[in-house]
Amino acid sequence: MKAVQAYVASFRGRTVAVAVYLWAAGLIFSLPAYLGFSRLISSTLGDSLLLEMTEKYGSFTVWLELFSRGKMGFRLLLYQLGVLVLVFALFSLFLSGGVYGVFVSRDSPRLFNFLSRAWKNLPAFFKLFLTCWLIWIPMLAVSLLGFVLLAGFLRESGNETLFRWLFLTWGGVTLIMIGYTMAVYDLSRIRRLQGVRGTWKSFRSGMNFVHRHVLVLITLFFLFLVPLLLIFCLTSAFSDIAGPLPHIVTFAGFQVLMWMRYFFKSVFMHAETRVAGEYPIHLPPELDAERETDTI
Amino acid sequence: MALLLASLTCGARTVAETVDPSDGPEPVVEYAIDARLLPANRDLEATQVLTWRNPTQIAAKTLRFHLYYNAFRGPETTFMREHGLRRFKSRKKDRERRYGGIDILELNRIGGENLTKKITFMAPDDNNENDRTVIEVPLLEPVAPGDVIRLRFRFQLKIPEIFVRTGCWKDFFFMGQWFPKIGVFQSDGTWHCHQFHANSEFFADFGRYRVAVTLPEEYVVGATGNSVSAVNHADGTVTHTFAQDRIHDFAWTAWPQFKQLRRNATVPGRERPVEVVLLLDPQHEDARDRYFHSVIFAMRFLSEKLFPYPYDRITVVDPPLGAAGAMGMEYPTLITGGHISFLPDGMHFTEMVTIHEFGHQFWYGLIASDEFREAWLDEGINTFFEGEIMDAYFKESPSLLDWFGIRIGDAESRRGPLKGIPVVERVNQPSWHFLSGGNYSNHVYNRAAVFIDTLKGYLGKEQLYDFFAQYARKYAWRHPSTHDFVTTLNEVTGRDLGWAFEQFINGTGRLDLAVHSLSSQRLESDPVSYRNEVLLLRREGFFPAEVLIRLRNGREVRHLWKDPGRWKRLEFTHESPLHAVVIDPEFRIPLDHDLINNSKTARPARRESQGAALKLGFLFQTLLGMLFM
Repeated sequence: MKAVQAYVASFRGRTVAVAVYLWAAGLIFSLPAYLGFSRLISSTLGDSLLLEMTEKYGSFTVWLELFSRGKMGFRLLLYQLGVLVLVFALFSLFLSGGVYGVFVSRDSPRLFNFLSRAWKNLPAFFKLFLTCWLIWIPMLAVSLLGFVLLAGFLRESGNETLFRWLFLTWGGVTLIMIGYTMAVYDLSRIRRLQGVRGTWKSFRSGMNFVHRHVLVLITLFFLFLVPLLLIFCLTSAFSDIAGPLPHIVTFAGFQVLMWMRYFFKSVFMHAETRVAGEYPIHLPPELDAERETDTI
Repeated sequence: MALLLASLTCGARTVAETVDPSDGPEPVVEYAIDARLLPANRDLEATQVLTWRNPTQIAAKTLRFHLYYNAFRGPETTFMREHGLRRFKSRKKDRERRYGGIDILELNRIGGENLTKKITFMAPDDNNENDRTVIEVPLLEPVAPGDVIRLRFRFQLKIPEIFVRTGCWKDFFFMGQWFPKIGVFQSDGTWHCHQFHANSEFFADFGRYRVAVTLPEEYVVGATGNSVSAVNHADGTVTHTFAQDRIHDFAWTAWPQFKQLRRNATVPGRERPVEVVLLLDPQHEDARDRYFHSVIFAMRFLSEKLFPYPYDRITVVDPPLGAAGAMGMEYPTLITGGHISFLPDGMHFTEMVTIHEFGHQFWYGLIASDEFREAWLDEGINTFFEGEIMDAYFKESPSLLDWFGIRIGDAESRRGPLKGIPVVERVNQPSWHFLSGGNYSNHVYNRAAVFIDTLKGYLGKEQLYDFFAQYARKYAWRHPSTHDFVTTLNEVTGRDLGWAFEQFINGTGRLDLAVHSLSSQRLESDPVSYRNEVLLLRREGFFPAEVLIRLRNGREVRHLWKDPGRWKRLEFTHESPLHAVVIDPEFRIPLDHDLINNSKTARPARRESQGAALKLGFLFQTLLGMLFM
């Protein structure tokens, strides 16, 4: 119930604003991809009508020709985009400082506030990011080991029926581990902003919250997942009909869908902060639950 | 699906002319094999009586045999070397499991000499003294032309763990190339008896086979040919006997867990139905209908287009996943399919393998060209027909892959691997002469199939199918060569197509037709007119092609570019300037390895390329969205 209430209450103006900032950041980082692919495909094709012949050649043949001819260019572009992906992943740390900062402080979501909170929270969040590798590394190791064991099992036993179940189990466990570690990461950051002093205490406090309020978080997660699935269906449907539309309309349509994804992500993050605010901070007895005044 | 199967028999087409086994040449060999499988030790003991008739005009002073099983003897055999498997597991435990071989314990000429000690190993292809896949036996008394010799072998096998085609996995056994097999004595008095190479398959004379296999009673057995008897013994074993005339190889399989299923299939041109036996891994219950429907569809398709399948039975083996090395192989009247139960249904792997392997029943099994030296006559032609049958079978959806928006047709998929060929070789050359296994399959399967597809575009589907029907009927049981293929093609079509084969099958030519330029110059005239010029290039190779010229006023002109020469200039005056030129607008020449330069437009609209870039850009943007934490 608390989760649902928190989720519903998160549909606010400040959430809309935050979603706009996130969408804009994602778009800026994506522009090199849009422009890069456009330039590369145009230069590879030149004056050819290859794409117009898709119905005759088949889409597999068309893309094969494109990637074969423009092999070096595509390879270079993909390397560049790979670097961009890594940079964005780190940049999202910065953005999350603004997102949680605005939601926890309930301050105005103006861009200046958002950015200044993002900047101030960056050191603390970066430390938490590094600390969370204490749980991410074991998670990756367990998942990878499980996969290797599973492959070996299949090779030795040939029992496909059992393999299918084991694979689903492995997949389920991996997803649960990902969900758990991401929840710890989120709640650690929120607790940090709620006054828990120190990286390690924030981390433990966040972990404690996850352990104590599993159902609440699972409920929140499903409330987040349902609209995402809906957006996925809308995106597929829009892609199918987008062909004859003017490119600017297609682009605008894609951006609306992208903003919606960020909006529901922001709702989820906002709901997390609300839910975290409903419950007292718990730390293991050996840790001191001192709070610092929220000057962030 | 029932409608699909029925449609082939209810159409207006005439049934293909029947090819009778008795039309072929007299059988050259007769094998009678008694084998006993000892599953616990992975051993097989057998006796074999071979009757061989000298089909030539020259006396045979020696005999040569294949001992294919010795390819698995150790890491230094030619087969292992060429597969790059020298460093196969070196631990003793793994060696015992992985390696095998065949030993001739005794060889006697019935009514004559003991030949056991006269056996010598030879390596006629690469002089590899570690390779024991060919033996030669000199005869005191040569076999005169037309005469018969009878030999008795006693041999034993150590069965390796299966990784390619033959061997065992736990209690599953697949036995291919498992007996001493006589080579082919050629009309010039030499033996066609090559070593077992990584890339090569097999070639032998037609004959009669009768094989009895004794093994524990819990085993379900499938084999080439028809089941003659199954006799139970007091010691808990059963002897299964199979027999078949007019075949050139024999394989069998045994596994206690097989689920044996049977259906009778009516086939165009046959009075009696064909019995389809499916030996199914019980975990693959979901594949049962996929196997049956696809093999029956393929059988009816080829029976209608070529000639009716002449044997009474076809056995389809579904190997367990642990024995994946046995998947996807053909033997007379027996094929191995392949099914992976956790692949999505949109991946038509099961149908593709089944249809491909069944197709071999004609090209490998009945027409039986030399797979050592001219493998494309089997693999290339069969791959082409695989594409035809798959596209007919799936009709409404892409035939190879239809999954999450990824759509690829079987025939369409051929060109993909050709893009990765490091060097173009002659398609028509001995299998072991290719640069690598990848190059072998790219040329012999894909390039040959794309070439035939191009012939289809050039001649038209009806004429090509008519040729294949006549070729198949003429050469059933007769081991045709590339020369026979080309000669028959020229006769049936009334054209000389040797130029195409010289470039793309017997030569290393590639094909690349290109639109070099197009231009329109406005003339000082009233009314307005333009001098339009199009320059076409044959950057590589030669093939006649249709050229579509599209004018800006929407009018289209088609021109057949067939005269030789590396370039062609088309000039004409018209009231409208040029808009675009397309070589081969109907995509009848898939052999053209660069399609980007097949078309050119005077004013690039960029619409399609921007649309493609938008989709890729959005994919990237979505990926970033998923990474936001």
